[in-house]
Amino acid sequence: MADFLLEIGTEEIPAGMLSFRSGMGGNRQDLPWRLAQSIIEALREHHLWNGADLDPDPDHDPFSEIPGGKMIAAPRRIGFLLPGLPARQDDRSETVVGPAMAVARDAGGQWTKAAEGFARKQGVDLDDCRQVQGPKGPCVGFERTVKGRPTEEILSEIVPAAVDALYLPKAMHWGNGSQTFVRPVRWVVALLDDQVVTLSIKGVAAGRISRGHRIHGAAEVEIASALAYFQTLRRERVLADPADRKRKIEDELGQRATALGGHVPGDPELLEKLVYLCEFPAVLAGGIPAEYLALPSEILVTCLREHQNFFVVRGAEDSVLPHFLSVTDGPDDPRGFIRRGLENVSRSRLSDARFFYEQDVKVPIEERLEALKGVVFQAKAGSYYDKSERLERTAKRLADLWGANAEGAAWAALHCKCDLVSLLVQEKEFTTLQGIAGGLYAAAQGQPAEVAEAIYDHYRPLFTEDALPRGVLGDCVAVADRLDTLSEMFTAGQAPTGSKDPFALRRAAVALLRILTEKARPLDLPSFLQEMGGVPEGLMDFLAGRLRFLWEVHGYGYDEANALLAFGLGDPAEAHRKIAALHTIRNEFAEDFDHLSVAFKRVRNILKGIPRYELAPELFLSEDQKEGAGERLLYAAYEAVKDEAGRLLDRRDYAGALRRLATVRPAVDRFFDDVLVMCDPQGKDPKKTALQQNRLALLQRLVALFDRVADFSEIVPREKEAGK
Amino acid sequence: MVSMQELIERMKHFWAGEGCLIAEPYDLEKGAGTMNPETFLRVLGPQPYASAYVEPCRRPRDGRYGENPQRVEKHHQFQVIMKPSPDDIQERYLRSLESFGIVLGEHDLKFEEDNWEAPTLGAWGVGWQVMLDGTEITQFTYFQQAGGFELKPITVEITYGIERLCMFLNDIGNVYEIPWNEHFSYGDMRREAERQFSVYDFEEARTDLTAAWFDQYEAESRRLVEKELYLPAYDFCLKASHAFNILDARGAISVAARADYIKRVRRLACACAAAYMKQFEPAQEVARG
Repeated sequence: MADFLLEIGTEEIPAGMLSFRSGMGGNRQDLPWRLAQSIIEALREHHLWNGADLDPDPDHDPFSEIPGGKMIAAPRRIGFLLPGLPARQDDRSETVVGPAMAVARDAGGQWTKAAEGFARKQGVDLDDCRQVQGPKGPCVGFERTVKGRPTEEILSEIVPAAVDALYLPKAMHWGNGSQTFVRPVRWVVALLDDQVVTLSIKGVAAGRISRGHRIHGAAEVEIASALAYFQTLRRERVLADPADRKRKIEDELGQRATALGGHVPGDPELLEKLVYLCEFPAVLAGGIPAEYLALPSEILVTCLREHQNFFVVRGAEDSVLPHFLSVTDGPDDPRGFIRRGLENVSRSRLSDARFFYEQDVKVPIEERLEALKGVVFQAKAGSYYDKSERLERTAKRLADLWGANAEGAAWAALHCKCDLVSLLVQEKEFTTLQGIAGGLYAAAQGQPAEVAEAIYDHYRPLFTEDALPRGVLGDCVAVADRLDTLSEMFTAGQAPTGSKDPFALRRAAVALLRILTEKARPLDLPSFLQEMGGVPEGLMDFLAGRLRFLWEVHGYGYDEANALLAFGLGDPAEAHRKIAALHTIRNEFAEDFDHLSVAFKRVRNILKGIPRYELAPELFLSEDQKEGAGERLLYAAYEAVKDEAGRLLDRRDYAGALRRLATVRPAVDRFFDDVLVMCDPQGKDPKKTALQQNRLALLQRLVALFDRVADFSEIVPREKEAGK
Repeated sequence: MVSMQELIERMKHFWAGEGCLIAEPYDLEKGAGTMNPETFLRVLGPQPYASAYVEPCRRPRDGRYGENPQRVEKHHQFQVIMKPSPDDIQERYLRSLESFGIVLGEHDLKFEEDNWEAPTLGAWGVGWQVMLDGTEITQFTYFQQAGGFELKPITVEITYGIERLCMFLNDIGNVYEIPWNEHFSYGDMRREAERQFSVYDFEEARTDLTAAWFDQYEAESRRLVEKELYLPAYDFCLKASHAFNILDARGAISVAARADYIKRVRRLACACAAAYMKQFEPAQEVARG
């Protein structure tokens, strides 16, 4: 078995193209991963690989299923080490299919011209041909042995083709302009064990000469064999495998922070960026000048993070310590040059940030409202000023509904976007502080804490795992903001389509639903939207879809979601409470609910288009008749749970209600075994018609009780599901 | 100490040694060395070219009345362009830093993605900002398009911020403390100009007049380019661009109007580029036309 090493040497590829984290959607977009995977697929097609594919999980090593494999993904190189390739393809037999038998032989059973032509072209004797199965029936054909080709030969074809076929997020040309890649290709190493594979990538012929660290390694490094690659490069100050660099950064960050008496909060995004900005990372500590420690920590930390990629060391309760940690590419700093340089730059950056902050705080937040008229929210939905006015009204109404301080909510909502025209937030490095900055300014200007906090929190949650607003006023503003954005965008015809969601409406919807469900804020969305101006077409379905997504994350079944949403999405918090109860109780009483769901599917069909009938217990047949016993048993079961279940439902104790309701199952089973509901389908016999209507009335009552939780006919019985 | 003028000498010396023609600054106001026709027009068309020059750049919005130690209305770029881009251009660039007196082994150097785009020039490129101990000292760009034309061959542009680099070399935090030579500081040479131009850009510039100039420069550029006088036409394009920058600094342009101004300047630049490109059209087509 041979080991294959490919290294494509380039000028610095942007971190975002090397890293999975910046990928779009659920697919891996990182260049090195896609390159390696496409070559593995090509090897498989050529019968040179029957091992695993790369692991697509970003939290796993891509080669977790391929022992001995390793990724090369650093600023100046991408590629991989793939072990276990055979030296050549096995010989294999292949069936060559010619014309259909019908045309290959004439009526007399003799070979036709068509058959002769085929044989001549293939260079075989017709005596060696026989009948084979073609795609559309019997054909003339023959078996032949295909000689396996050397792996090296195949690699020299498939590797350049795979590179040329790669999707490039942003392509460029260089030099004479004839080649296209993400950055200029400067060298290529391709080794099968210790032999150079003859191939050429983007006009560069492969060899065994790699390059070390740009500054701290050798300009040229000879790679003796595929397996020697990583060790050889490590000596030249290159950790080619990103996992090695990540480990080194994490270890050193931890050690440095501990030595400084603090810790560094996790920041996977920044860590990932630095992993792909360095070939040999090292962590260096520096000091934050004391005069800037008085800045709000959000501004200080964002400033150093966004401008300088620094981690700020935190002490007890996440207080800011006067130290930053920076990741440098390679060098020690014995003379303190780098540290001094970094401190100088951070001083000027912090000085800018402090200037912005001090200027901003001087401007009363109310005075900024007017300037929002000049900031476009959406062409058809007007300016941020218009939006602010809408938010004021919506948040006030929400506060009324939720028993919160309506005046406070209204003020916070009206002013929550004012920081968009502050000096700080207009700087691109500080845009992530939108909301937060407004909250800080409001607090500094003496607004009540809950109002300032509502502004501060109103962009939360920014992503699926992010924290929610802390207080109820924050909920009011955050929900008002999301509802407004969704309504306006849907009204303007900007609903997301396929993979396109330029206004991040999916995220807005998930944020909205998370706040309503996790904080149990009651809100009947259709009627509330109606009250606020209308329900845009498609919005409720879209929100229902997002709620399904959230429920899926919670581990609820798709059939449970169907059961809850069968009657449309009303109040998400209520629906959420119901599905939680349904999920739990259904597991407790699995058999009962399986039976009930089957029965309810029948009931649903029977009741389709039937008017509501009066229930008349005196019409039930007598106990000693089989049907009468069935009717009476179900009626008694219904009567036994109706009041208590109703009370529990009124109290929104859905679990309690479902537990009670589950007890009707034997009666339901018995009813359908023994009673013919549609005993007079043609309506010929008045007496039977009355009986039938009475039975339907009983089922209507029973279903209505269950419907207060969900549509149980949507539940897919577990056995059936397992059998699928 | 490495003075400003000494650093410029070293830059010219190094790049002359790499085969660059040493050009002089263009005598009109502009925001970046890229706008010098020495870059903007020379990157177009097929012939190889390599030049280097100092370019004073005016950015009215960056004026701080001579009071901010890091920000100035007018700064100096050292611009290098090479067409086609040499295979070892990064190594040459690193050698240039060493020749200025930077011992790279003692510093942290990173090439961080920074794709350059000049909407007023219909130009964009792909490249990096070069970070030295956290300071951006150079913009490094492979031009992909200019004046609306796809480029082939590709020019590489290296733009050093001379003040930044000089402050770095001397470990100085205040631009005005840079020694221009052994007798004069940057402050001696520039501070008063910074003050006066900040007053002009932010307070005194007459917006009605400047807006009218913009219209006139635009009209003149269009008139001249039709006569295939693309060089004077481009001068008026530059003047229009600077008038726009002043209007912008005065806060006289709304968000919507801003995009429109940028589009108007881009049209002028693209028209000049198109006129310049005519010389490279196949001979028989010119004859036919």
